[in-house]
Amino acid sequence: MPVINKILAFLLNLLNTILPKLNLDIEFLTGLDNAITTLIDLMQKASYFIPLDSFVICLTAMFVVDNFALGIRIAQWVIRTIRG
Amino acid sequence: MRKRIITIVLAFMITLNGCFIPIQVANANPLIFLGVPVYEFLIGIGAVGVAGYTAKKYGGSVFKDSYRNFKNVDEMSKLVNKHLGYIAQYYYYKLVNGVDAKLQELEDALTSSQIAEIEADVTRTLDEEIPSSPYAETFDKYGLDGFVASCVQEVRNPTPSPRIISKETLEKIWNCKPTTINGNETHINVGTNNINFLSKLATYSTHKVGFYDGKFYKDILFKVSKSSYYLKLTLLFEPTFEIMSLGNSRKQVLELRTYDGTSLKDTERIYGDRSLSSDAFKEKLTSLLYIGALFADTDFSEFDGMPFEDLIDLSFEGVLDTAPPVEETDIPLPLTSDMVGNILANPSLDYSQDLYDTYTKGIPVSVPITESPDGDIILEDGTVIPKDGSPSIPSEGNPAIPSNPPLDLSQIWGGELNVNADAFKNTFNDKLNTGPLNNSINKLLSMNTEKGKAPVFYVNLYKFFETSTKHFGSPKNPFEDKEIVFLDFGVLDPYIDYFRTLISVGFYITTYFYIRRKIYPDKVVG
Repeated sequence: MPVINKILAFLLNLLNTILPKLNLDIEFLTGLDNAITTLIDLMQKASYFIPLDSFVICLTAMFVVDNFALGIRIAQWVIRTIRG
Repeated sequence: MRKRIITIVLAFMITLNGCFIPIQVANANPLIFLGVPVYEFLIGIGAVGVAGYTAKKYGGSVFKDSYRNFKNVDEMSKLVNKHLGYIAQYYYYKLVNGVDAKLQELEDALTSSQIAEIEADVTRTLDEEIPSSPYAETFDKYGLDGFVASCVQEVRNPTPSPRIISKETLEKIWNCKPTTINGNETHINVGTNNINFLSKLATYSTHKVGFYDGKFYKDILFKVSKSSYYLKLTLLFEPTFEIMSLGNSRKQVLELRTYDGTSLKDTERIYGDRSLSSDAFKEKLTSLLYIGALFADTDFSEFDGMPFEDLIDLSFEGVLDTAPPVEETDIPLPLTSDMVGNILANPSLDYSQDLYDTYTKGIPVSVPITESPDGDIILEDGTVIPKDGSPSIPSEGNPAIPSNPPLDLSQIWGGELNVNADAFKNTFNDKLNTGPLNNSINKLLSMNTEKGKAPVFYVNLYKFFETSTKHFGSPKNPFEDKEIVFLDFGVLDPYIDYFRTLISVGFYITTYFYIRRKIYPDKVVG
């Protein structure tokens, strides 16, 4: 479970790095932050009904499969850049 | 057909929810006929009726095309906000007039003419001053938070336009005792929500005491909730901070901004639940006022380069001993930039005892205090601190002040203050990490995936009744002023593990099919 958490935190950190560069409205970013926090809060509150570990693992698996192509492309881009 | 099934299921669930009220009430009071007091039973029936009607009126269309019906939802939320606004106005009135939980007692002692006077005052405030103020729109839009924010801003930058909250009123707020009175014990119940601020407060006030230069206004002893520690705070008279409300229907976000002249110096966000009660809000606002005063005119820049661990250590000094010196002119600047440099250069330097000596001079630590009828504070050994002024307490021969108190950090970490460790960490994480999604990341990293407690919903019928009948002559309130259980999911305890297993298996199956469909997109699966 910590591994999954780290994956998600990595994704969020990525956003955290990219979003400020886009000159977005600070209220939008605050809203985004609030939305994510609210989602996590909601999940936490629903933990009586829903087994959170299964839920998060499934969500992460779906996300990784969904964005597999993106990861491959980033890797290709990096390799191409290094090769010159 | 499907719609009909959904309607039936909904109706069943709503009825079930309604039935929980009489069940819980019966548990609370089994002596009344069938265990159900008439009023509460009627309200239960009424709740079922209202829920059914609402589901019928709005539910159908919302379910039919939920994305196109924002208008309905918007109107409903406006309606709700309006009523919340009334509640907010009421408590705002209580707040600005320094009327605390003892209002009821005071009202009993008033004569009818006095009551009429007060009521006229309330009516005037609610009907004339607030609507005619330039902030009425703010109030409609952001509720109480925004309104107070505007008022505070107004005090900061006064304009010739009519004001709602005058300097005198603000002074009144500051003078009103920030205390919860339990018997004779006087303390501020800081609460877990505020502990984050308290840690910050403790940290900063430890280092920043000397910057005030005689601008002190008042000394106050804080007692940290669930511990025996006291914080003695000295307050500035002029507030130079703003409380901003970022309007958000899901969360109340209060933003505390400190200013250096005209440039923004520090920003602190406070997240409150939507269910934040008025008392909690009052508590929060009061602490904000004090914390804002502490932040005013301070310069945090010299701590920018300090390592994380050092800050934590210093913050502990703060929690133990945070206090401005009693004789502020005699005591030198607690922590100069030279000292900081020294500490950074020599990490092994033992500076804690020096700091401890500096801050504990004349400060009672871990002493239960009581309050005399005149408002003076009486320590355990009989020492009297007058209401006005703060004489130094002789530390020699005073049993309340240990001459060489032990400073064992491990005890604190393992002791009662253990619960605050995360708050400390988060505070410093917030300061060290910069980025828009810090709260989310911190939340995610500290997420607990274990099975939580069964949610229980409470309702305070007393306040419902009081608020709703306020404008109809205030009939006698039949309810007790306490929260009763509205809905307790604990009844599912015997079955919930089975359902959790089922849901878990369902998740895995869904994920499997999702991934399979993703990988073989051309085949029909399932």
